[in-house]
Amino acid sequence: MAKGDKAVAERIRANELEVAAFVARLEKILGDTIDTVLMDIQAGTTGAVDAARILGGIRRVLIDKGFNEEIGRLDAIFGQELKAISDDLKQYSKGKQIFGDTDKTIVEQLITFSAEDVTKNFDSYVGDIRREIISGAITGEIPAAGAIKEKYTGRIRANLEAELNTSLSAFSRTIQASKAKELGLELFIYQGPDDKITRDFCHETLDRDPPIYTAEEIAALDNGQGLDAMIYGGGYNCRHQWTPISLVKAKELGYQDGD
Amino acid sequence: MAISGITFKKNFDLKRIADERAERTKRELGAALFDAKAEIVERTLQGRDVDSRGFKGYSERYGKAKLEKTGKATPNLTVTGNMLKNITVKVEQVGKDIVGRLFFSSTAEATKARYNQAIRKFFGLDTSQFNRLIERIRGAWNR
Repeated sequence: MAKGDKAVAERIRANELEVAAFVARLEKILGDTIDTVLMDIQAGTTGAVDAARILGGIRRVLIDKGFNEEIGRLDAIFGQELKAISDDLKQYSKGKQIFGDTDKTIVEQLITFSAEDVTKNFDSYVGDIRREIISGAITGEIPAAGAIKEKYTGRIRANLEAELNTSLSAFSRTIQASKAKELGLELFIYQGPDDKITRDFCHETLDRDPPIYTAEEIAALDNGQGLDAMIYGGGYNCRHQWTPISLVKAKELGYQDGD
Repeated sequence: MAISGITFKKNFDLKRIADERAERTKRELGAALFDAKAEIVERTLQGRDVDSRGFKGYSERYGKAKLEKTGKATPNLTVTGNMLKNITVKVEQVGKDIVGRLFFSSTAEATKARYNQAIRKFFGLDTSQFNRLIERIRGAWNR
């Protein structure tokens, strides 16, 4: 590999690691908090009632340890995407944009929603951990910190990574759908791999020949995850996309009106 | 009385006509670029480069891992799918020019694409795609 290629490969790896590093930092904060709370309970310095109170404030402990700052880093991750789009919009500021300012608004909304989703998701896991520790404190069987961490942090990591990747992916799909609407394109072709890890929903959607759908048909699709199929495809971590196409192209591919 | 001449008077709104033509052309260019994107994505998923040749295979180790995970070892440049999803279309008027662009809006995905392009040339239009695009724009302009 040439020297330049190696440098590029390293930068790609750095980008991919960014989301993973964000999740790892959250994981560490949670792990440290669990250690602190459980040590207090096990040392007898905290009774069951106090434990419940402390655990009730687990979110406060997390905030003290920098949870909010970590969530704030989401802006930095998504901000790169936003900056790229903003720069691009500015580049031709003298020219009339065929695609309006909706791009930027949509991206900003996605940033807000994603931060909220991650917080909710994290809170839900903290709630589960809290219940388990309280239950242990009441029955006198305090779970080991290691066991709790092993049980939950892996799940949190996988879930948050999926959440972030899904949100990043939603950027592209949302912007694309918005542009298609402005151009008056009403047909979309479902594209992506069809292999052994492809979900049934995606496999069935790809199975139509050709896999071309109207916006109305897509709106009626149910991916079983309660997520908008146009924006999220088959759901979390979906590798597929809806590419807008013209009626001319659709007919070339064998699409018939009223399919 | 002798006829001195015939006057035909009709107010042509030339600016409106020019604007409509430009708008029609921009829309057609946008649609044509989205069609080109669909073709690039499809070709890449099939493991073919811009010249329709098969992509260079994965290394033995990566190919084996990919086969185990997905059941397929043909390179399709799709792990998360984010790079191909990020191919973006933009059409705008800059002065008198109508400019259409097919590009990666995310710096991360653009970097990934540049790296892939050096090994497996997936991003681009072949002569036939390019000629079809020109024909469509010409058609929209002259309509």
